[in-house]
Amino acid sequence: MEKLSPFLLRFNKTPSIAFRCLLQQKLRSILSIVGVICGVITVLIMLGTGEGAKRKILAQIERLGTRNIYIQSVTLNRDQTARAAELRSRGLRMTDGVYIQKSFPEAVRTAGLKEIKAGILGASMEFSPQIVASSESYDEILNLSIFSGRFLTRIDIEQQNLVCVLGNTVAKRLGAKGNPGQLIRIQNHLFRVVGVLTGLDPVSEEHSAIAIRNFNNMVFIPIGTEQFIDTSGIKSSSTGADHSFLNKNESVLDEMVIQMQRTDVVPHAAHLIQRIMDLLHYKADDFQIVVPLELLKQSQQTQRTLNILLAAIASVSLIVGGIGIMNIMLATVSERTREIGIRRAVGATRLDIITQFLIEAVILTFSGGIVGVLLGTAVVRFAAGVGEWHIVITFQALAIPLAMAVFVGIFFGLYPAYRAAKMNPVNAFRHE
Amino acid sequence: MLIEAKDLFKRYPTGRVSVDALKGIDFFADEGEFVAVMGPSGSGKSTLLYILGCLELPTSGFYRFDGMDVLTASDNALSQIRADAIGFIFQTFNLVSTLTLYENVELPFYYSRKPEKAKPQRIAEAIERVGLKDRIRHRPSELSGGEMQRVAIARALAVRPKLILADEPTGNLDSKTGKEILGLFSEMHSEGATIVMVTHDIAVAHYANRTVSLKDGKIEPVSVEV
Ligand SMILES: Nc1ncnc2c1ncn2[C@@H]1O[C@H](COP(=O)(O)OP(=O)(O)OP(=O)(O)O)[C@@H](O)[C@H]1O
Ligand SMILES: [Mg+2]
Repeated sequence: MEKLSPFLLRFNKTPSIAFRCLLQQKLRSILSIVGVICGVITVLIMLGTGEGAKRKILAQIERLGTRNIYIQSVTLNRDQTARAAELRSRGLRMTDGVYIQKSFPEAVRTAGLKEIKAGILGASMEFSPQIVASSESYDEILNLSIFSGRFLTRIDIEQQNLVCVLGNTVAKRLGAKGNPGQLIRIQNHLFRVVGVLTGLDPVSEEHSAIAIRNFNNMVFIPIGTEQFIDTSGIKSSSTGADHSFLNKNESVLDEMVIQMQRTDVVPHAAHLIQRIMDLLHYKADDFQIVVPLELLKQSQQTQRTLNILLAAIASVSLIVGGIGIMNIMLATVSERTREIGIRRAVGATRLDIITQFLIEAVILTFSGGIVGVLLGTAVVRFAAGVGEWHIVITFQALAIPLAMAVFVGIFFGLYPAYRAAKMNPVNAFRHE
Repeated sequence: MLIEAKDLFKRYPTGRVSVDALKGIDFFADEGEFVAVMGPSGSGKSTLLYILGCLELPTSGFYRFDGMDVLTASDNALSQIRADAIGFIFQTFNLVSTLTLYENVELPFYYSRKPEKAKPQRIAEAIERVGLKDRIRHRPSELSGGEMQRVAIARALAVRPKLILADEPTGNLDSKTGKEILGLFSEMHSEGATIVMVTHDIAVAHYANRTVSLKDGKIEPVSVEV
């Protein structure tokens, strides 16, 4: 304590000495931190871009639902169709879901979806909503909220009611006809509108493994009722067409979503479902299983790698800034050799000199860091306003470059400070 | 005894030929003594002063300052001695050009371990004593040679060191100012400070108790007692 206290006592004076030295060399100080400012801006933008991309993918995958497992029917070529027929596979059907739910109690809900190639009568060329036949709990599984009216119910499906639920954009486009209670004509049948969905933020891009549906542009009709409308382009012609005798009324689905009770059972459930489906379909390979949770994990993994890469690139620019600081500090040290000698002569220890120059370097890089963070944030704001650039600035994106700047100051200031401290006082103040 | 130096050698390695600035010097000074050091240019006076001021170590020899063996002391201990116990007035003033007059006088206090309650008074008093009270905001470049010399003196006085080492403090002054400055040294001497002063001027030497003559890095056998 006795040894430490005088040091601490002097330590609190050193910053003021260092600060004044910097102020006396304003232009040089400003020039020397430009490199750090640029480095900090780069790191900030890199981190922000990485975070932005991550959130975007995350939002997409979360819309698919991390508790959900998707089974999609695969479009088969002629040979595969023949093989599937040989194997007596019936294509993807709701009964598959019933089997799965029976054998795996953690599977709490199942919904099926079938894409219909049909048009709403009176709809213009550029407005072609996607018509899908769906089962009743689809809205719950995909977390769709109802704007007005209701979603399809079990009764709609059992009684094969000619009703429909409209996506938000569809309802808007139809105007007065898009309200619950109205009738719209799909192909050659009239369907009564029973509900309209709440609008969702558009998710523009498609994820690599699974298409994100644009629910705003969809019309839901009860599964089974698609048989009443013209079905010339229905996919069922490709899967299990020969087996329609097995269950004449059951639709062949394009997609089935199975929701698990909890996220942690999803990986196990995916395995099990694969096995059950292989059994039910006699290994016909007419389906594929997509697990959003796995996509999430994959994308987090690639994102992490990408982030490290981005950070490494950004660090290079900070190191360049640091070398600039070192250069300036070395020049300062040799320019202030006399001053160092004089300070040593009146009692400064080597540590005093080291601290003075280190603090100068840190003040430089820290203020450069602050300016860089402010400018970087401004640049990001501007870019977000002008373009479609997706950058999210988190606390980390501000703190990491700032901490890196200070570290650069210490790291690159150490050598010049050491050079200053080890000089012989007499030689130093004799120096011209 | 405050200064006990025996058989001091100092060799400066300058390229192929090295220079022997001191060739075996014994130097003693009691507390409260005022010693003048004389000798021709290049005889090693400044070198001796640097060694006595713990700024440089002799190549060989023995030096004890205030009971501390300087040759074996740590760099930190020597820094502490310089800050607290020694006031140095250099031949070339050695003021920090970027600091004001006041800040230059304040400089040793940054590094002193002594309690600094009286610091502002001491600085003010020292500046007042050298007659530069109304110039405290000026930088060294705005001062004359004599004024810079006086700032250097004020800086050495302010911490009230045990030992004051002065390297030709009147060399740059006219005789009137020189006398004033010497008066200042006598005053400090009478207040109890130990002073070792290098000078070319035999008249200046008369203020001292004792004169040591250097020639070619050695003490001249006859030292003039006054
Ligand atoms: N750092 C150094 N490197 C090499 N030689 C040096 C160094 N310092 C001093 N000398 C040499 O040592 C000798 C003594 O120098 P010093 O400065 O002590 O002389 P001085 O008596 O103070 O002279 P002056 O009266 O001119 O100030 C000189 O020959 C000088 O050239
Ligand atoms: Mg000299």
